[in-house]
Amino acid sequence: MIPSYYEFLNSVKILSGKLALDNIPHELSSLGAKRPIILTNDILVEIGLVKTAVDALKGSDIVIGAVYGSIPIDSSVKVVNEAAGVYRDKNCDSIIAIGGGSVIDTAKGVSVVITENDDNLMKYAGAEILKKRRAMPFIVIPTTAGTGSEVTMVAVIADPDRNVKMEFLSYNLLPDVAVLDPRMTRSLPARASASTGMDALSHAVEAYTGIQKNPLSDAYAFAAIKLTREYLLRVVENGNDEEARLAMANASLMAGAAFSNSMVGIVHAIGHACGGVAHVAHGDAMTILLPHGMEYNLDAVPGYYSDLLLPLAGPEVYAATPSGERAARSVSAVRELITLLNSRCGLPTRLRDVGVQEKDFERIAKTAINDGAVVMNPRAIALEDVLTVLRKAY
Amino acid sequence: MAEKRYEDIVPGQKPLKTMLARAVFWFLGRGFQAAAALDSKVREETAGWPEQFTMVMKIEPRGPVMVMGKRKGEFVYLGSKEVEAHLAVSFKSIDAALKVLLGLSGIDQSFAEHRFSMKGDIIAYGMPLTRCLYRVEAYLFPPFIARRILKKMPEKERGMLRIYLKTLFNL
Repeated sequence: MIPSYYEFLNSVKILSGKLALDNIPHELSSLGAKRPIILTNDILVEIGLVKTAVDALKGSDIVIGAVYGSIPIDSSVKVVNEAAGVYRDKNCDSIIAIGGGSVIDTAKGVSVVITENDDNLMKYAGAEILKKRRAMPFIVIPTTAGTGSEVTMVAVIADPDRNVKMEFLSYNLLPDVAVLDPRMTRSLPARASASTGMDALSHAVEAYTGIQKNPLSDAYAFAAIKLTREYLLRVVENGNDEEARLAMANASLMAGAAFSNSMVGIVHAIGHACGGVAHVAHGDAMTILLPHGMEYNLDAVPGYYSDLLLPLAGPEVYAATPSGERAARSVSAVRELITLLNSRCGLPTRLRDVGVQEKDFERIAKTAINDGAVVMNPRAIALEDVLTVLRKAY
Repeated sequence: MAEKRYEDIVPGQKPLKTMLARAVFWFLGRGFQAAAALDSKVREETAGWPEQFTMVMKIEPRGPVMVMGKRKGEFVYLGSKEVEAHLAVSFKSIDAALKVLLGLSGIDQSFAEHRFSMKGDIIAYGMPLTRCLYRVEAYLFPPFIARRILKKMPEKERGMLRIYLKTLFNL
């Protein structure tokens, strides 16, 4: 079905594959920059991933102005302002973000602070309010295959003084270049690979079934799910499988492009709340909640779930399943994948396994219904509905 | 050969639609105020906002504008003059705004279609405001329209007539 109106933008140039890192000097030069700041976290410096990226720039005219490695798991406005201060002090002219979702969100925040020349980032919270074109080139090197943040128009950044998380949605947050190099995800342990892979899968499933879906986001979501089915188990079983690593990096990116243009729904609304209230790792929350969220929406958009059986289970299963049973079979296919991942690397399957307690439910539900993803879900979500899903997933 | 002349083209205004939007903004603002006074769910949502909280709904680039806010514990309509606000919803065009204001499109669909921008804290203010609007729309629009634009019809605590009397005559 063609929507009566939709918008879609993915302006990010993608460098994917072997020696992708080595092309960064050329990209920076094309964008008129030669003195980037690297934004990352200390662990990635410690395990040598940042060195891998810097080594790939050898032989070029690029000078790294600074490596700012103090980005914590949750992005915050304080860190954004500190990193922006380093950017200015060291006369940097571009940003390279190396890391997962929090590093990339922080880098997006830094780009806003520098562009607007204003340390009050919170002034720019909201949807589609950034008017100024970004003031510097922005390159992202993801080190996990899950968030898809390298191609999304979204950032979530906390204000610790007010104990709130603020959402930023703007096409001006899209990076210029995303670099998918298998060297950068090779060291990810099996369980983290599984968890982040399920995050990508949940992006794609929710993007395909939300009210903002459109033909282009559908294409990205479909391709992302197919790659996840074919390669996620392979990266979990053998982290050195470069083809599988690259495929999952692409799946994550495509799922990111899908949900940046179609948004997510109930799974993310509740998952974000589980993270905020009970500190559940995002990928684990997605793994546990995805089948329950799909079940919740099943009757609202059965046709979309029927479609998803093809990429989720493959052509043989799709063809062998009567059309009236395909939607429910899609949920089963996701459950089967989770069971396999649980047996391979201990991926959790219930909220009780990841530290959520029943006494947290009320707070989680109240937080979840204030998540913007609720609006894009195909079925209305009230507090009671979230509590029902939480009980089932517990 | 005669030199080709290129004149400026000024697309002009949409005065009738602007007037209509201005009138509907007044009605929506007053209707919201009525629902906030008479419906416990809307009151609960607005109760969480700070005193002096202000929200603006407007149409780019020059209006019309609707201002609402919390004053002396009540959520009230504050007129049509743009002010600094905690939350600002700006429709990108007058036709996009009218689709929502006349019940031809829901808030969710309008957001999905990027018909407006939202400045401010989406989590603390934007989402509660959206839930309030679902209820206000359910009161102000006839049921056949409300059912079409809402994913789920909320259970109404008051009759439509009661809300309309409060909206139009403050009775």
